[in-house]
Parts: sequence; C-alpha cells; structure tokens
Amino acid sequence: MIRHKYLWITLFVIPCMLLFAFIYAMPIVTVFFTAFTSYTAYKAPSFAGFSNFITIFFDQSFLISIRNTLVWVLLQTTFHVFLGLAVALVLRRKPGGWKFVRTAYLIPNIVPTAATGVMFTLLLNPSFGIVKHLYESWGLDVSKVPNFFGNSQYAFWTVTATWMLYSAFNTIIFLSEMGAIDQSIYEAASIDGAKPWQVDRYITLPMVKNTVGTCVVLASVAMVSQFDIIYMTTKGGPGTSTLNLPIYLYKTATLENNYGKANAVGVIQIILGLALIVMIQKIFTIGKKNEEELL
Amino acid sequence: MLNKKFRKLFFMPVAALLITSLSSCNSDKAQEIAAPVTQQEDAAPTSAVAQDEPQDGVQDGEKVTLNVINYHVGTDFAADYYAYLFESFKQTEAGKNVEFNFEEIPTTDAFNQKIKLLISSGDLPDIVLNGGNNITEMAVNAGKVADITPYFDADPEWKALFDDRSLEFNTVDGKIYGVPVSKEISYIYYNKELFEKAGVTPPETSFASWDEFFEVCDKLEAAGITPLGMDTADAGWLTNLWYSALIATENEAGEEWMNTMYPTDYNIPEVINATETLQKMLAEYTTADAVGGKYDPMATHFFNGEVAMFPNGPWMVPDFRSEEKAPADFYDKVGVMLLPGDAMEMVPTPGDMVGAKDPVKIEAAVAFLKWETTLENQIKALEMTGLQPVSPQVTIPEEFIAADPLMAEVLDIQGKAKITYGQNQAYWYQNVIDVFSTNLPELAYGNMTSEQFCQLLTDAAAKN
Repeated sequence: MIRHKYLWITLFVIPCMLLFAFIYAMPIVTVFFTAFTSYTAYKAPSFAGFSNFITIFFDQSFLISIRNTLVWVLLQTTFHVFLGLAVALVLRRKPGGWKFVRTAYLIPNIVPTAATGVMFTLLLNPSFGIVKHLYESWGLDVSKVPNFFGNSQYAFWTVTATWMLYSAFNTIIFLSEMGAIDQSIYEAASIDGAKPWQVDRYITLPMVKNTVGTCVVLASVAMVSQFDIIYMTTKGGPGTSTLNLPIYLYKTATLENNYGKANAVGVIQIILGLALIVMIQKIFTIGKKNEEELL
Repeated sequence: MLNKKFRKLFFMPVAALLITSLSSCNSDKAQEIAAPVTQQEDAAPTSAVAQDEPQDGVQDGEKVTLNVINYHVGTDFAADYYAYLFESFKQTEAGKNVEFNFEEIPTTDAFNQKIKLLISSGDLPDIVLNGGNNITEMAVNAGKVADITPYFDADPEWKALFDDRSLEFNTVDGKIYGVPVSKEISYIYYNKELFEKAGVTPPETSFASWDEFFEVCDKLEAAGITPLGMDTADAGWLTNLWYSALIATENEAGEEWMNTMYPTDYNIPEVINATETLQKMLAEYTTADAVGGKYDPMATHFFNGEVAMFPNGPWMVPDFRSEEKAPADFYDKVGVMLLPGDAMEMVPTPGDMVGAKDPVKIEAAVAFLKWETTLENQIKALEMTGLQPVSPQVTIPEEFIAADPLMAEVLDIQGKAKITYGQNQAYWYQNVIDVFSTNLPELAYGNMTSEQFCQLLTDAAAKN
C-alpha cells in the first residue's frame, strides 16, 4: 500500500524534477562552477580558487547587503506574515463587507511592482508629494518635509513600507486553510462556551500551524531574492542603506562586469536561502502531520 | 526511516527550485547572468573578413537580413529619426536588398545590459547601436565586432567626414571599430523670464567665474527662485554635468583629468574641491526633490519655470517646443550659455559598430553606417532630434537657422568655448558612476565629507 502511494507521489513530482533538471540545475551548476573562477564580460573563466569569496567578504558593502537582507527576512517572516494571519482571522468570521475588504486588500499585490515603485516615489516626492501637501495644510514648514527615499535616515524603512503592509497573499492562503477546518470543532467550542479569542488561540491557530510555516518559507525566500521594488526606488542607495544581496549581485555583474564575483554572491544567496528553508522547516515541522497520516 | 529519506530526497531540489524560480521572477537579468558561458574565442575573426576588398552595400540579387537591437523606440527622443533612417536606407542603391530584423528594447539602460550580456554569452546583432557604457572597449576585447578600418581606408571621402578626435575615440589598438554618428555637447539652459524677475543680466557666453555664478544663484534665491536643476538617481546626469564642469575649470590639471579616459584616482585636489562645491549646490541651490530624484521630474521643474538654470545637451531643444512636455510659449523663454569660464562638455560619441560575421552582412552593415553618417542625414538628425553633427563639413542650412533660433544659438556658442572636456558618463567606469550616484545623497545631507566621497570613487575604480 505504501509503495503504491510512493509511486503516485513520484509520478506527481517527476514534472517538477524534470523542470528543475533541465531549466534550473544547469545554470545553478554553472553558477557554482564559475564562482570559483576569474570571469568577466570579455574574459573566459579561469580557475581562481576562493578569491571571489575572499574579495566579497572583505567588502563592507557586501556585509551590509547581507545585514539588510537578513533584517528584511526577519521583518517579512514575522510582521508581514502575522499581519496576513491577523487579517485572515478577522475575515474568517465574515463580518459585514468582508468580501470587499478581502478584494480591496489584494489590490496592492496585483499592481505591477514597477508601477508601485513609481507611485511611491511620486507620492513621497518632497517637492510635490502628498507629504508636502499635508505639511502645507497643517501649516508646517515645508522646507522640513522629509525626503523619504533620498535620505538614508528614512530610506530603509520607506522601501520596507512599500511591501510590508500588503500581505494579502498570506491572507488568502490562511483563509483557504481555515475554511478547511471541520466546522464541528467550532460548534463544539461554542457549546463549551469558548470566547472568540479562545477559539482562535486554541483551535484556529494550531490548525493552521503548517500553513504559517509555509507562508514563513515563502516570505523568507521572497526577501532573499527581493530585487525589483528596490531597484525601482533606490537602487540600493542612498549610500548602502537599502543594498541587499540581489542588488549587490546585479551591480557586480552589470556595472563591474565581474561575473565570477557575481556568481560567488549568487552561491551565498542560494546557500542562505536553503539554510533559511531548512531552519524554518525544523521550527514549524512542516508536513509532519500529513506524513504521519500516510504511514 | 524510508519515509524520512524519501522526504529529504525530494525536499532539497524542490527548495532550490523555489529559491531560483523566485529569484528569476524578480530579475530576468539575474537569470541571464547565470546562463552558461559562451567563449569569446568562438567569435569569427571579423577583422580578417573585413580585410577583403570592401564594397559598397549588397550586390544585385542578394537578399540580406540584418539583425538590429534598437533602443530608439517608443518615447525615445530619436525614435522617429531612426525609423526614418532604417526605412530610407532600404530606398538607397546600397540598401535596396537589405531587410532589417528588429528587436526593440526601450531605454538605454536596458539596451546596454542586453548588449553586455550578448558580448559575454551570445552573438551581437549585425549592427550594434552604441549606448555608451564602455561597450566599445568590451566588445573589442571580446573580439565580437569588426574592424572597420579597411572600409574607411577604401573610402577616403567617407573618412574625411570625421575629425581625428572622433575617430581616435573609436579606435582600439590602431583599428577603428566604431562609426561616430554625432557629437555630444552640454551647456546651460536658462530661463530668461526668471533671470529678469531676479534682476540678473545673462552673460553673453558664460559667467566669468564660479564666484560670479554663485552670486547670481544667491540673487535668484533672494527672489524666491530655485537656481539650479540637479538630480542624483539613475547616474545623476544633471549633477554629473555640473561636477564635470567644476573639475575641468578648476585649473589645467583639472581640465586634463576631465579629458582622461577611465581615471582611477579621485583623491586629487581638483576633484575634492569640486566635490565640496557640489555639496554646497545640492544643499543650497536646488529643489527639495533633487536628492534621490530622477531626471524627468527635474526637467519638469525647468519646463514649469520652477528652476532657473538647467545643464543639458541640444537633444532637449525639441522638448521646449513639444506641447506635451512644456508650456506653449516656453521655447521663447529659454536662452543658452556656457559653463563658467567659457567651458563646455564636448566629446565625440562612441560610434555604432558592426557585429556581423558573415562578409555579406558586414558589407551591408557598413553601408548602413555610411548612410547614417551622410552629411544630409547628420543635418536630418539635427533637425529631428537635436543631435549635433559629428562632421566639421556639415553646413547648417539658412532655413534651419531661421526656423530654430535656439538651436542656431547652440551651434554658434560651441565655437566660443575656451575649455572643452569629457563627461563622466562617457569617461568613467560604470561602477564608479553608480557609486557617485548612490552616494550623492549622503554627500548632500552631510553624512560624508568630500574626501570620503572621493575615496569611495577611488575604491570603486580599483574594482575594474
């Protein structure tokens, strides 16, 4: 019986494995190989040992890009996922207008990133953006309007705000999981006199634990590879205040034309992403329950 | 146990797939960077091919399709001109059997990235339009472009269209690889109305010194007018132009330094002093959104009469008349002057190249480049785009001067420049320009000193 199930699992996984092997495995192997070479836009790869890795670990900008990436991973896996979960817990009870809220909350997530970037840079423009108008209407000194994207004092948090609050995809995932919870459990809790927060705390949250793990994995991977909105708004600046690993990699490849070094950064990025996934999987023991049922 | 092994077997590839797929979603370019390598050695010895007796265009009966990646598309200032150029070439004797296969990539930045990747990992298009970014040097070093010297030698009349400096700019190791199509210049546009409002009399050619220039800035500010257009994002084009002028006019050493390709030491007094002045300009004389701002909003400030002086090139002139971009009578309000001390940025452009390997295609591509640089088309380019003719032989028609007096002023003032210099975006390493751009806000807000700023530029240059 178990063998029969493994056969089906294998059959379903095969397309993914083939896709991985033919489309991604080769480039990944190339990335790992060329990370140990001296390789530029006009110079064929030649073995260079660990020199690319040594160079990047002595580069202050690289270390800052790691720090910024990890801070964004931390924020995304905690605040961002929590926000999606909180909204789902509210919408689960289907209060008045819940369908509208669910749809409206999704809109920022379906706006193209390029448009989001342009929108925020215009909205927060210190010369004609909304903040200046607020200063004017409140009678404040307009020369003191903060330059949110242009000043390193604010840039990191401003860039963070362009995505951090929009957690609708998590909300949708949580809602679908919550919808699958057996209603009889809620009915039993109701008969026992459980209060709403007790229902959430002792029934809903434990039942969606695996999904929280999944959302945390997706959030962390998204942050390890976050590129477009940062490129559209600050390109990693001012200074290195919004520099993360993908932007560092991109600049190394396209501005320094140093592909060997860029691929060394890519190797670090892949290792970091895998380490995060393994760690999160351990914390949330994702998939344990399903496998127990299989056995 | 079996279960655990089975899970692990599938988990790792799936997890890696998740990371790489999300990564590639975020940046197609990043995926391309990770693509397998194609060796430069596979490039055909195009220079050898070009040594054969060059001929003009494609012979009768032969049909040739040339691949072109064109970034002069959409809203690009030269989109109409290049559409005309490709179409009209097919009507000529040399181009009657030529067809073009276009790939359109809007924006110079995206185009340059694509060309860089093709230099490294694939074949270049048959005609390589040049978007700057040190592409000529990279393409030549990779052996991906044809030596055009024999074609120039075989056609002295064509060669005579260009001055030595323009050809030298496109020469590597004694061989010409690029055909310069225009000359890049920049100077200052000023708003006559705002000058008048502030009681400032514009100079005939330029302010005599930077001290005089800043006195005028103070006068403008006292009249409630923002004196200067500046930006920092996307390479900080406008700020670059001010910076280049500040360095070049500091002294002879500064002028020489600004005419040096790929400088590596920025810790010299001329650059440090210019950086200090730039810091003051960003802090005191420009709009609030200049720091962190891109070019377009800054141009809008100038069009709206919110900024008095704006450095830029002649390609901006058609915009002054465009009702989509500027108020109806704006053209008449604009005057031009050189940078203080009669200085002007003036560099030959990196020329268009031939990436074709097939001899017939090389012939056809060279024929197109000849068509692109005829005296008639240089004038056409001036009329349609503001691109300055590269050939000293070009005579501007009287009717053009009468129809576009501002452009006539631009053409006239060029001859009055006593100091000419290169421009950062043409002469500096690309990563240095990026470091310049991303650290300008730190300089503007006083988070770093001019010495620290120059050290960062030096460190960036050392990475090349």
